[in-house]
Amino acid sequence: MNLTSALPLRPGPGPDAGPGPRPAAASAAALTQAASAACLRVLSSAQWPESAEDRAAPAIAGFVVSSFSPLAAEAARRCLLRGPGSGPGPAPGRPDDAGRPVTAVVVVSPLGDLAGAAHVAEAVDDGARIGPLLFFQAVPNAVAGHVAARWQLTGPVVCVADTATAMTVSALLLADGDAEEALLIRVDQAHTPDGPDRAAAVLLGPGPPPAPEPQLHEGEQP
Amino acid sequence: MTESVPAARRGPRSVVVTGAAVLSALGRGVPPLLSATLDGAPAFAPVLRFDVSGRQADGAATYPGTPVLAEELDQAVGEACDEAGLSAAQRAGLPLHLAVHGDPELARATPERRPAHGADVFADAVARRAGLSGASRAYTSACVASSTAVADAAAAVAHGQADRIVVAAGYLVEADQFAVFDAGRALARDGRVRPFSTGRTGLLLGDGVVAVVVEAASAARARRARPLAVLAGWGRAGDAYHVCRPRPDGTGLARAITDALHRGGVGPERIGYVNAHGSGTQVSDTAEAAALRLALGDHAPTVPVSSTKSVHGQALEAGALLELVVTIAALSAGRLPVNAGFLGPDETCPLNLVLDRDARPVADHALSLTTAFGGANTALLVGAP
Repeated sequence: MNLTSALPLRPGPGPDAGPGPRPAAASAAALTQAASAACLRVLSSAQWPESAEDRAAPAIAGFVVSSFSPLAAEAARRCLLRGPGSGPGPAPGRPDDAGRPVTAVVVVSPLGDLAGAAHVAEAVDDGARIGPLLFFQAVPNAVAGHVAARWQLTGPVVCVADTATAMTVSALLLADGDAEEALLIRVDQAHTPDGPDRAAAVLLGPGPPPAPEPQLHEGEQP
Repeated sequence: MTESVPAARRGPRSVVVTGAAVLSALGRGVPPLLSATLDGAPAFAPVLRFDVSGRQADGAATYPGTPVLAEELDQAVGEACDEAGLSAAQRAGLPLHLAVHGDPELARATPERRPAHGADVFADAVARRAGLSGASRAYTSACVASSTAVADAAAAVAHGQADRIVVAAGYLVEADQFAVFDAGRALARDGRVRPFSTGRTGLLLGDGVVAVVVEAASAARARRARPLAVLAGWGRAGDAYHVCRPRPDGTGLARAITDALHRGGVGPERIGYVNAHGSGTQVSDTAEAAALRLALGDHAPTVPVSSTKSVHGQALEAGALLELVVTIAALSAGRLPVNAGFLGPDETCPLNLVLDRDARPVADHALSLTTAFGGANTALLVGAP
């Protein structure tokens, strides 16, 4: 029997379950709510689309066929540009030569690069040629690496399938010193031909100090 | 790249592994896998599971027939819990960390059915069938997915957020990933994986379905379970360098190794063996050798190193967990896996490769290293129980 508090559970009705429309999972509002539930501080946020002018996320050199990686990169770009330390000079509270805080990149996507996967499956089934660029973009790590290289984010790279897990992972990385900040990016590609592509990102920092850890565990004397 | 690396911290509890189960190209269970790695006997052969006639390469390490990922995961989780001695009641509240590429059915599902094939839904289903009713989660971080799942489990257990967590991972060689790796010219043209060797031409895929039980040492003691190994440390860090190429100077992986050693409270002199990522690709092996030199210093030229991918292939999301289990089994057996496929030394990889059978660990801890696309690096440190 586990005598400690359980790990945070996946979603269930959260603070957004009350009256009114529930925000899309890949929205700044939903990520901000989830961060609050995980006691994490949101330093900046962004999403795609943000206006009627957001029709197609800017292409990234080397990424083809699918909107997955462009969506992630654009949400990340907007979020980081709005974050602390994005302007000239060091981030507040950091020495001149400290550079950007060690920042983890956490990508959330239940379906991954859906358009890319469907394209490859169709090509395999039809015996069609598969382009060499599809090799690396078959995994969400690829765009995480693109974002990390572009913005010099040297923390861990983690890809998971749901937002609550991503928040729990981020909180533990910050608590254990694996990273000082975490850039969390959620991408939900349209799963039907006419559906919307959505992406959102939040830059996370540690929240208030955690409560004291439980003292009594299975196998330990009270 | 910033130099302000934060000091790695961890919770106060010791973490152990109390159960492990494996399906690989070598067969079911740890013994055939360990035996082949100790002998340096590769399992690569032309793929029969699907049509590879249009591909440039045709080799992989596959278990016979067409195993089904969900069924094999069910079996692995059950066997790992059995070995750990967990009753049905003890399993009931356990969380599951599952590392997978995704639900294998997603890419061919009709558009309307796609949301039912998310990796999170897939993980929930594995947990439910295994009788694990704690929170389940899916990791999809390519080759570091399962080592990240282990690191997160260890960190949570060390902090007392859980007494035990089941970590499982699965990849069975299939046509889609084979096709994209082939298109990217990543697969070895000569049908062999030759880590750190001159004449290496790339990687080959391999089956791996694995589960382990990560547990607080105190909780294991309380129920008189015998640990297989101590999960002494873990580290992860990013390269911030490229979409799919590793940072050539190895600094990202070196930081992951340094963090693992720091968390384990051991120095490089306590490392008796390194199961390297050793994919068999040119740039990756060279960068990994540089990382080992950075992290292990004067000990780097003498620590025994091999990559067991030279025997069982690259199991992608499941690879790190497969190699952790091999590393634990080798440490327990007191023998070291052979770096198979070696043709001759590569001056860019000045390592003490395990080339002969019957090599022994030179100290009581071992590292299992993994790198992935996106510049993701992980290091897991295990010790004798």
